[in-house]
Amino acid sequence: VAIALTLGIGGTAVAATAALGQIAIGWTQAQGDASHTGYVPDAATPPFKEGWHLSVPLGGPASTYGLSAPVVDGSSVFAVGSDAIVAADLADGRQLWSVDRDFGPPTTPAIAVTAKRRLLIYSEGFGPTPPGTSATPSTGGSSPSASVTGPYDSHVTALDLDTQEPVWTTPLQLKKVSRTGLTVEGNTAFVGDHDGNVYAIDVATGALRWTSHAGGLVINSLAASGGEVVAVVQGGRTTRPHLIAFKESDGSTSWDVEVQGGAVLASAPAIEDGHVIVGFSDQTVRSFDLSDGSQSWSTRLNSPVFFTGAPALTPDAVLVVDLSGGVYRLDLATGDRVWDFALNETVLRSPIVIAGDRALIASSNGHLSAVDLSSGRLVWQGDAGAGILRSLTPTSAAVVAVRGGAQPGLVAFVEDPDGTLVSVVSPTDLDLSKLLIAFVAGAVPLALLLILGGRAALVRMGPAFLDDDGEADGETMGLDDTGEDDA
Amino acid sequence: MSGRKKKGRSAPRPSGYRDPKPAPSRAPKRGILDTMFAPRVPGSASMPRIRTALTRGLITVIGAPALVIAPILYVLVMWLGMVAAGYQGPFAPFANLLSLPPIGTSLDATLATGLFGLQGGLLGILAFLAVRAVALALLTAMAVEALEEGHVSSTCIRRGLRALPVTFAVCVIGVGILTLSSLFGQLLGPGFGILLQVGALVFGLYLFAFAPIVAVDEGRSMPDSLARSVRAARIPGVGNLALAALYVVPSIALIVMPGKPGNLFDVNPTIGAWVFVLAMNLLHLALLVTFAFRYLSVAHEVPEPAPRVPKTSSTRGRR
Repeated sequence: VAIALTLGIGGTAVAATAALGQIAIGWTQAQGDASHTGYVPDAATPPFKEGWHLSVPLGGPASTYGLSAPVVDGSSVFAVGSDAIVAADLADGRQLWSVDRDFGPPTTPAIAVTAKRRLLIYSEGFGPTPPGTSATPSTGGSSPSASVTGPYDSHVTALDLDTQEPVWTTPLQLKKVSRTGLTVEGNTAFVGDHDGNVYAIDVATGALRWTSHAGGLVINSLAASGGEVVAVVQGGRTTRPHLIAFKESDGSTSWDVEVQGGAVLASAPAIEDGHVIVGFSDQTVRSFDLSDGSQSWSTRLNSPVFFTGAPALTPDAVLVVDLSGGVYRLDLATGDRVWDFALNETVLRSPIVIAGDRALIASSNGHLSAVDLSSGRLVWQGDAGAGILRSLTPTSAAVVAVRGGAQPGLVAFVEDPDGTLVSVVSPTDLDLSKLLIAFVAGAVPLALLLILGGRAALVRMGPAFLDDDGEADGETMGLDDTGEDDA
Repeated sequence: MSGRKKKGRSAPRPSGYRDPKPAPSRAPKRGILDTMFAPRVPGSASMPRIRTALTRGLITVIGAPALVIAPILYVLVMWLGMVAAGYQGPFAPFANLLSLPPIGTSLDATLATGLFGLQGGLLGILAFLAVRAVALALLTAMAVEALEEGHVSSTCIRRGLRALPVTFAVCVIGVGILTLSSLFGQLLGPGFGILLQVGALVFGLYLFAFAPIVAVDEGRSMPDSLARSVRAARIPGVGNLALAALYVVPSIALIVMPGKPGNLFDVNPTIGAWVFVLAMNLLHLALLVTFAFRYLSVAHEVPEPAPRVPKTSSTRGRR
């Protein structure tokens, strides 16, 4: 029987698994904890090597859906696929079990612990028109058709991790499709849907505690801390994104702040020490005061932060990665840039995470990279795998991630005692001698070549215009034989 | 007008030129818009062919060491300045550093907003426009002098600075064109919107490419230079619009081209990136010389605006 103890170290839950007699870091929900800090102080560190790979085929009618971001409890890894939940052994990647699930978006589940059991809470269902179906009932053929008369197919349910049986009497019905994943704070789970409805659910019974409306599309995971649950509402053609905070206790609105500037889309929020940090599509990262929503600072990046991303926070630093692989460390209090490192690789669907004193980044071309937290130098980078790498989950034993492409599934990177670390300076750090050498090496031959060639060509071509006493020369003057323009 | 030694230009060739029709009785208005919408004047036979003018532009640039070295140093100085201001790349957009307005001003807008954000960028763009106006004025003066004298001397600095109001105005007009086309482009949707924006760039270049050359060569005032540029552009049958399109479309392709050297966030460009960016800027300068060559070839054929008809005493007396 696993006994999970939650210890508040840097906002990260540490679970002790008594049955295995070892302490493992728990990464129990999106970005690790309810406030989404993405920070594990005592995690596996680079150099890494690939420890294991669990192949999980892509799901959905067109085989396009991969796994959700994994969560870890003790020695087990759990991930949600489009139509199944997969559990794997953290030590060797062996599949422990798989449970069918209603077809739905692969959203990040959350692990909750009650007095009696450990639960995996997740949302499921694609609404009345799931991908691959038509909106109207078909009269025949093999193509599945959606039912438009039954209850809306979107709900939240809970699974007993020990028995793999449903825990709640009935799933909690949602009004629209949900992609936020679950956030668990204490004995309450929070989830949002496409219509902006935010739900607070009793973890033990699945009963709805309250529901509120955020006023727009909510697709990022909700962050909870200090008695507040924060949702990010995406902007649109005519609307700006806004942040809204509800009281965890009753769902009443604490504040609602529209984001000024050119941002349309926003990342998931993360909370640390009263700061709500969000990245935006207008190449900014902003901090908002958790107490009243006022904006504390805004810092500009080189590229937008993709809406599927999220910042990672330590007690004094904000780590964020932008769309083009720019990694930044900002001061949590002021937003000042401490350092940046340009990976120059697209990072689309993978929030940055912090493992000890390293920032870990997974890129779309399959690289796992580690940047030193204090110096901002690249200390390790793995070989590109066979497809996108995303959704990093650092633990004390390994860094688990989701692999896409030709070999979809879960992959774990473990410490490699034979590996070596490097210390690479960011290409965005000016090296004047290197710059000038490259300039001279490029410019001087080019200039000499052109000038020498130009001299010869000019002599051959003659002057553009002749003196007043000169004879007009059609060719010299730029005219052809007929004096007509070719256009 | 410059006080330089005047060199002869082409003797006007038979072109079917006809005397303009008598001015209408009502008092004609003068200005850029009136010039734009005025009836087109007869065609010119003195305008060099596009291909010939492009060759002349290229040969003139590489035949004058100052026209090769100045842009190279300008790119280096601008890059170091941008890096000092906090810009981290990519370097590749600097391939359009010397592109003519309004393409060049679109780079200014991109750099300003990239460096200072959307709100700060609105002020920052003015600084970028001022720098571009100075560079355009000086390079135009160098180009005109290289065409007319066969070499570049220090006198072109004075001539260039005199044209500064015109080059700044052309840059500001470029920003206006970009802003309006962007606003209306959004209303039209992605397909037609892009067509509108490209069309606006072509039209802006077509109308105002000659203005700095007019100012440098003839020392005209800003409104007069702009109006004369429009009149020169609208000389029918000389391919000015085609040349503008031939210039704008590849320049835009250069902006969006994937995989070009210097496309990464890197403040220390590689040798390949330097060669690419410098070569592209020299090509832009060659296009400036091309426009200058074409204008100088037909300058004597560009019609002056119709003179103001003095108000009659009877009209003046009517109140």
